[in-house]
Amino acid sequence: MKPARIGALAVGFVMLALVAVLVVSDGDTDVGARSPLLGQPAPAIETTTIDDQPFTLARRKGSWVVFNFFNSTCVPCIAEHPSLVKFAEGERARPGGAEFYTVVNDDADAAIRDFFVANGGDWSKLRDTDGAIAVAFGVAKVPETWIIDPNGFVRLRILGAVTDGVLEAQMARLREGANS
Amino acid sequence: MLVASATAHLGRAILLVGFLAAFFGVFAAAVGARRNDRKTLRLVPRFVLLSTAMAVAAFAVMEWAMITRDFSLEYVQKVGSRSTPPLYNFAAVWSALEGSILMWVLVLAGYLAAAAWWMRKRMNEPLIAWAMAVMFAVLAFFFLLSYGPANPFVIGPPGVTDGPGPNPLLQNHILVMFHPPILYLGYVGMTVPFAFAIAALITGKVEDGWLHLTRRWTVAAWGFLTFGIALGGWWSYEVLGWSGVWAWDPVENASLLPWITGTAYIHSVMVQERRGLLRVWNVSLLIATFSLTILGTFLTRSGVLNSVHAFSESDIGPWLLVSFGVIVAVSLVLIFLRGDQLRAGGSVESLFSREGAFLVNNVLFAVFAFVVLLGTVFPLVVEAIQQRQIVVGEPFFDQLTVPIGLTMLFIMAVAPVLPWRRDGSETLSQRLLGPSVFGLACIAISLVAGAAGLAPLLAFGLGGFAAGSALRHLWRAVRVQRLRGFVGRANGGMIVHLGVILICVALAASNSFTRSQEIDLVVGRVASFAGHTFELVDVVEQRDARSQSVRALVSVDGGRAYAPSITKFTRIGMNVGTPSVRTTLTHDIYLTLEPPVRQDSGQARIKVFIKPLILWLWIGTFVMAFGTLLAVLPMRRRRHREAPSIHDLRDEAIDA
Amino acid sequence: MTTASRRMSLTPAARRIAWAVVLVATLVLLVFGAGRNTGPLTQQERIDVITKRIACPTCDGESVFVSRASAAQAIRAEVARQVGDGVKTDDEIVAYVADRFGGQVLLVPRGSGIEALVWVLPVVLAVVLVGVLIVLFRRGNRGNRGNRGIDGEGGGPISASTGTTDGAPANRRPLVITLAIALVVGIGVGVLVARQSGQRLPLQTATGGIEDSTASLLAQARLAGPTDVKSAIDLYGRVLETDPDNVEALTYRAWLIMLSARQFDESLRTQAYASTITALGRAIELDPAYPDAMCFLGIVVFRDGGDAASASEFLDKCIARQPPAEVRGLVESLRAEVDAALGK
Repeated sequence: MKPARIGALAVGFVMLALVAVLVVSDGDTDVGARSPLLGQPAPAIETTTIDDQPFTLARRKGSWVVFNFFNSTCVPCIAEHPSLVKFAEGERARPGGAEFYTVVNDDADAAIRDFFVANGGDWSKLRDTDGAIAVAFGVAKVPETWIIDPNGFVRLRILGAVTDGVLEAQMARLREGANS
Repeated sequence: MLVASATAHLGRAILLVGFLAAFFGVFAAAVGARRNDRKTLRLVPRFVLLSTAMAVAAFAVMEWAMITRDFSLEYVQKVGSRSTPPLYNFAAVWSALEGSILMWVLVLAGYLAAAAWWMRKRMNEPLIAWAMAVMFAVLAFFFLLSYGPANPFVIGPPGVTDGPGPNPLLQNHILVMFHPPILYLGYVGMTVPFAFAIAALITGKVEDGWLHLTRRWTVAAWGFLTFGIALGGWWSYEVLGWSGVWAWDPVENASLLPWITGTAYIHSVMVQERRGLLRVWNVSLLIATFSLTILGTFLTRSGVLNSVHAFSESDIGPWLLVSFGVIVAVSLVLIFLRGDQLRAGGSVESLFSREGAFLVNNVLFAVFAFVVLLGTVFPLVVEAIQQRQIVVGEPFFDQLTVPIGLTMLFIMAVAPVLPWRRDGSETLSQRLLGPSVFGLACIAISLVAGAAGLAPLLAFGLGGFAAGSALRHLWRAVRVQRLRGFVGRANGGMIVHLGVILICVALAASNSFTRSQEIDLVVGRVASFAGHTFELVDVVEQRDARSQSVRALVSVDGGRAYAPSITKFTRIGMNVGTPSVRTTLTHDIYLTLEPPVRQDSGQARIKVFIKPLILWLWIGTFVMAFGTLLAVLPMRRRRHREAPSIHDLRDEAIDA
Repeated sequence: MTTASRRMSLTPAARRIAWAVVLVATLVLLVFGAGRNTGPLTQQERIDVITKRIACPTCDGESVFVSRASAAQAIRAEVARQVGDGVKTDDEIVAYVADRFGGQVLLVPRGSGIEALVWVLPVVLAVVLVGVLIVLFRRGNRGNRGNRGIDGEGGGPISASTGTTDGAPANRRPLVITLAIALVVGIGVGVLVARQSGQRLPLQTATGGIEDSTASLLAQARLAGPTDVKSAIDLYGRVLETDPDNVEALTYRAWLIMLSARQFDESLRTQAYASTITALGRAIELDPAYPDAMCFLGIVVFRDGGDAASASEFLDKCIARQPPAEVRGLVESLRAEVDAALGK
């Protein structure tokens, strides 16, 4: 065959391959998202709460710890807040319950205080100056929820807003896995 | 409520009529061309008029809705706002997907009308009629997009009285008015030569008549595309605040790809005009240019680059992808079928002839386009195969395009002095000695000025080499023809080359020799960096309906104050940093204000970039624009527009 | 043309010398200039170089240097911090970010695996095309031809006007051979380019992300804790070798020693009790706010020391410091016993 036609066929084939590649797309349906930190010791976090109390993550070994990265103007964060309140209260009521913390992402103390006064939730809110904690966890967009086990290992990362019962179910699953 | 829905329905009705006009126009032109039926062909101008009128009307309705803040429309809810200044509000129409497709329709209809008017006396020729048919088909497709998946006239939820306005980055600078329309004049303009190429393939009239017809259109569209891309770079520099002009992100690459193949085309086409060679190359380049405009729009609008999954969820993605596939398939089939007729009576004798140089140039630009396309699309491929996301960014493109750019400079130097039809390696050594000395001098001067590094020095040297060659050509033309030595395709082209060289040299300098430093300024104390002093005069706060901004007034070298700022747009909650630039011929001093800014503290942290030769990027752009203008100006009035005149030939024969 | 010969009237020999001079001079200047230092001169420039290698996680392929997004700003701040500390190399700082955000923030595609294709394919294409050009023009580059060279098809050596197809099959072979050679050469050069320019950082660093060996040892020790007390004690001991003031290691080592000693006879238990109290006391001294030390002190003083009063005091202080759930559970289950012992 003439080289020009071979060339034309080759180009056509490549283009069709490109189209085919784009048509094949698989959705991801797991609740948990990927992260290089999963199954690894959590990063060493030392910061203060917005009430100027010191906080060191390593000192919380022995409890399940839940970090929720939050910003008071982010729409999904506001939407998931009631579910978080329910979850935190449920955990506080049970023995051996998880400790819930909000990590403030790129927001002012005053705005955070106002939000929580208006919407409830009296757990500790942690300052994150310059986004160092966010970078340490690899958090790019809020909201994100992270669960760390009592041995200090990262167990779960949830991207985006959670709905009622999701966190409770995940905690139950993780606790069961820890006991077995 | 009634009035509101009237606007939406009116708009959609206009789009529907426009689509039908274009749709039937396809048949009128195609059937009339095939049967050589004059009566049918007489319908063509009417359909042109109707579809163009509908395009203008649809755009006008959209603008009217935007200007009157008609928040019943979902699109106005998305990008309109009561507090946006009028000029930016007008431009807000094309700040999101639906509005830009509408603008595409408008520009395309405008080109269709212009082409139809220009060809009005020759509408009966099959070539012209088929070209009209192809243009109608493309216009119909875009009307359909605008009527269907990219509908700007969707009625939004009721009760909305204000909107967020366009992205704050689009409200900072008047340039936003001009960058997209000019880019579209370039992008969409490529449809015209494409239509003629397809028409030539269909009719089998693949000799060069259609080329001569469309030559000026192509160069003009190319000129707009070039200027639009440069404006994008200027906007990036002035507004975005990272101090650079080009980031190799997918949107930029999408506009660059058709430019690359378009540039190859306007060079390679000279070989076809002169000797009828490289026909398959030319037809392929032209089809590639048009296809890449569609592919580029697909890549940037379908969300596929965020994630492959986003693509299948987007409305417009599949449409664009399918249309791209159809265009490529149809074109390949046509080239396949007409392959024999495309074969020329003659061949390129030697790589060291003018034709050979253009052939090498085609290869070079093909590799360039491949690199940019591969880099842009590669993350998709990897994600589809391995389900993991990778990023291909600036380091990859810089690494691979630098050698391509240097080779391009070299060819720019060599090609204009090569003769047609024969091996000119002998004459090279004679004619290029002067330019090579000039190149050497450029390297020496830059070394004295402190330059370092192999790639930038090569860029300076080859740039000087190429400039010497271009100046040599111009000088000889002016000597023979005086002022007319600046006009016409070859001479205008040399001036465009000078512009390109200025841009390449400026890019090499600013990419390699930028200095930067972060300085904590305190009022009353003077800091210094890179031979300049900076003094913080004041930190000023400003508040208005839409935003509050903090500006740091910095006095540079004891002179006037430059004010980089950070603006918080309260409604959207977005922080936008605005740089402040002091421009001189040798370098720019680029200042940005870094967060966090503590008001009333008398302190500010600024970042200073010393960027060499940036001004020459813009000077080079204007030289290119000027050269393009000179290139499309007719040298003398001609009776026959088809054949190149003796004067064109003489002008190119300066170096024969 | 006469104009040309009037301008530049060098003999061919003189011209050759002039060219030689120009080329040599150029080479000298280039070598000289290439040798000059081009690296970053200020801290900010080093930060810029590093941030240009990291992709912004929420953008379309923009680097952290370019992007104005908040995630990019946070990463820039982190890079600035680490550059300011002056301890890590560029590669290490990039690896730090990649270990957190995943390999997808590495802006430079890898030099191996499927990613290397992005380097190799353009080089292969360029080499193949150049090879084809050379071959096509080598065979016919002197004087007259009609049956060689590139014609309008932009493809193989197919004769045009003369219509001769002499040796068309024979003409194919050199082309095919050249294509094959060019392909091999192209792939070779491409792989070289990929190795040279591609990302060299491993997908994950050896420790799987967190480089701090103390943290890693502590984590391992904690995992071993309940089941393999001996290994846990050893691991905590290793931490204390490098970091004698590590409060967690001090506390838990002491606690585990006490736990295991309870199973042995009295003499060992008394010894263990003494060292445990000392260690816990030291931990509390080093970090008064650390709840676990205070809690264990209370438990040990009661269980192994029999001192309910002091134990009660310690346990109260322990609860005031907000201990984590496991330790709190231990303390609370002990509370009743302590109260009983005190006669409450």
